[in-house]
Formats: sequence, C-alpha cells, structure tokens
Amino acid sequence: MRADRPAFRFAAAITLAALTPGAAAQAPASTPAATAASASPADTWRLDPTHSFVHFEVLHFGASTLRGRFGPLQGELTLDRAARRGRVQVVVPTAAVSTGLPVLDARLREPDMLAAEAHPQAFFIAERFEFDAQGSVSSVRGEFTLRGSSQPLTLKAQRFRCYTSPLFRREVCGGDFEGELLRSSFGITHSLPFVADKVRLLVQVEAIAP
Amino acid sequence: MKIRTALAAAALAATAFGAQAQGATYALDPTHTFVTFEISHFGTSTNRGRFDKKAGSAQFDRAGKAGKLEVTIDTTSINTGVAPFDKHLQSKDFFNVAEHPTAKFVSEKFSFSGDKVSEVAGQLTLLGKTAPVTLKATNFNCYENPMLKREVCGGDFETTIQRSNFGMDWGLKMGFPDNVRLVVQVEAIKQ
Repeated sequence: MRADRPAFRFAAAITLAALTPGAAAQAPASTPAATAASASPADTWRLDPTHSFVHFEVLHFGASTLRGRFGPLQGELTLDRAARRGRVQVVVPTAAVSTGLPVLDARLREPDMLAAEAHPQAFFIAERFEFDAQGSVSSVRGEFTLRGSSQPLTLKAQRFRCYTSPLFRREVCGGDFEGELLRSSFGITHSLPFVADKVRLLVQVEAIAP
Repeated sequence: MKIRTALAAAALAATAFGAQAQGATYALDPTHTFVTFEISHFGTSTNRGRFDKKAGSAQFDRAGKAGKLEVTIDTTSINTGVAPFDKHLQSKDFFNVAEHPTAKFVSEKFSFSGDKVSEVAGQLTLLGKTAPVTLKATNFNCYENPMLKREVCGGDFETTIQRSNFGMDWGLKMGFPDNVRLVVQVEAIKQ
C-alpha cells in the first residue's frame, strides 16, 4: 500500500484533472481576470463550473418525474463563516436547458415556457444565509428571477462541506441544496395539470475560495 | 395431429410465462425513460449524469400483478453537462464504451402494493458482468394518454449499486465512492 502511494497520488492528479478539466483550464486564467472583475476580490469565491448545476424535477401525469438540467451555473459567493453571513449571486443561462430530448429543450426555450430569447438568464440572489451549530450553511433565502418575474425562494442544504481541493490547492465549499417553486407563479402554465405545477430544484454547487 | 400441435404450443406458452398471466405488451417511451446516476463528489456535492439513448419493452398485467421488462442503455450516450467528464466516463476507467456499448436490465419479477408496482427485481449487466438489482418504486401510475389515446404506465424507481460489483473500481483506493445511486424514470405505452 505504502509503496503504491506515489502512483496513487499521480493517478489522483489525473483523476482530478479528468473530472474537472474545465475548471483546471480556467483556474490559472481566471485568477487575475475574475478577481479584477469582482467587486470585492479579497473575499469573493467563484462557482466551480464543473460542479455547479441545477436539476429540476416535475411530475408527469402523476406517473413519472421529468428531469432537466441547467448549467454550468455562473456566480459568485461571499462567505463570512465567523460572522455567519453570506451572499450568493447565481446566473442560470436559460437557453442551455438540457433534458436529453432536443425537441423538448427547443419547446422549453419558447416564449410561453422559459422565454430564453427575451430572458436569456435567470437569477438567484440571496443574502439570508442560515448556519447550523457546526458552522455549515443550512439554508439560503433569496429571490429567484425567471422570465422577468421575481419570487422569494429558499434553498435548504441537504449537505454542506468545505474541503481543500488537491486540484485547485484552495479551499472549496459546497453542497447539495433543494428548493421548490410553482411554475405558474412565473407564468408558465402550459400542460397544467397533466404536468405538475410544483417544480423541485436540486442544486449542486461548489465554490472556490479567493 | 393438429390438435396435438396446438396443445403442445399452448403448453409451451404456459411454461414460458409460468403461472403468470401474459398481460399486454408495452413499448418503452424513450422520451419519458431516463436513468440518472448520482455519485458523491468529495463528500460535498452530488455529481449527476444521465444516459440519453435507450430502448426496451415490457409485458405488464395489472390485474394479474405480473410483469417483465427489458431495457437496453446506450452507454455512449452518457451526459453530465461536462464534456471532458463524459469522455472520461466513456473511457476504460469507467464504462469502457468501446468494448461495452450497452448496459442491460432484465426483470421478470414485479412486486405490487395494491394495484401499483412497488418493486422490480432483475439483473443488471454492465461491463459484461451481471448482478442482481432491485429497483424500488417511489411513484407509479397508469393513465390514458390524451395525445396517444393509449394507456401509458410508468413510474419513478431508485436503487443504489456498488460499481465495484461490475468491475468498475477506478479511483476506489483514492477514496472515490463505490456507491452510485440510480434514479430511474420510466413510462411505457400499451401496444
């Protein structure tokens, strides 16, 4: 086992590179560029585009769950764990919706659904972070804007953890969050009630320390 | 002679389907059938991916509480939203799609809770290795599809497999997880 360690370490580096090559490619370039663009570079974390996606789930004819994906998410996070404060700003490119069915994706981009042409981005901006006793983020409350309509949205953490990424050599904090919205409250009423109004959001997010 | 042949055929048919009623044939609806997998990333967040191409059929007898199912997944159609990750998953380290372009799930055992399917037990073949897998239903319903004007039955199923059971053990020693959760949407149209 011990004799194998360098080999494992080498393999681990390859794995990480393979699992997160987009981020690997972006990491060196984005350090000066992204920081310069940020309002407060000293404490701005940026989302890791290879581990930041939102999946949605909606029930179809009370039988099975339709799933789709948006992402990679773009965004920034400020996190002050000592003061138990945070702010996150996430941009969701709506045209990038991906269900595995190109015909459905095209339908979802139309004006009565995501209206991707008129509203190419959806936003989630949240400033109300709750932390548990261990200092982990337990929920994030903010405003979600879709098709130009804004509604409050709370995302609850299913898990949250910070670790040192061997690839970025920086701290990474992230987790899985879930939330629910009624699509009708954003004006998306097509196929109601056969396709449910309630949409479950499953958010994978990891952010890289400044 | 003819009668004897007919009887023999009937006997064969009865043997083939055992004590179960044959039920009707259903074609898998590929637009409402997806396998999504979930695997933990550094114990922090969940990586998800799905397979976009698949085909299959089912025999289903709701009254007789019996069913059979066969689904073939095109492993080359893996889709995580991160192209280099897809490429790595297609490589020999994981799905080895060059040698094993398909995975297959075959079941002849449907369990019911009332008139809804509650479990589907079968055999999953992945990387040429076959192991038992039981899918648990979290939703199930049959409905008359207004566009197809046919009965459609379907549901949501889930299970957790150990990828090492199929010889997919890349990265395990480095701490990458063995457990992979499968979340399955399936709908099938009565023929």
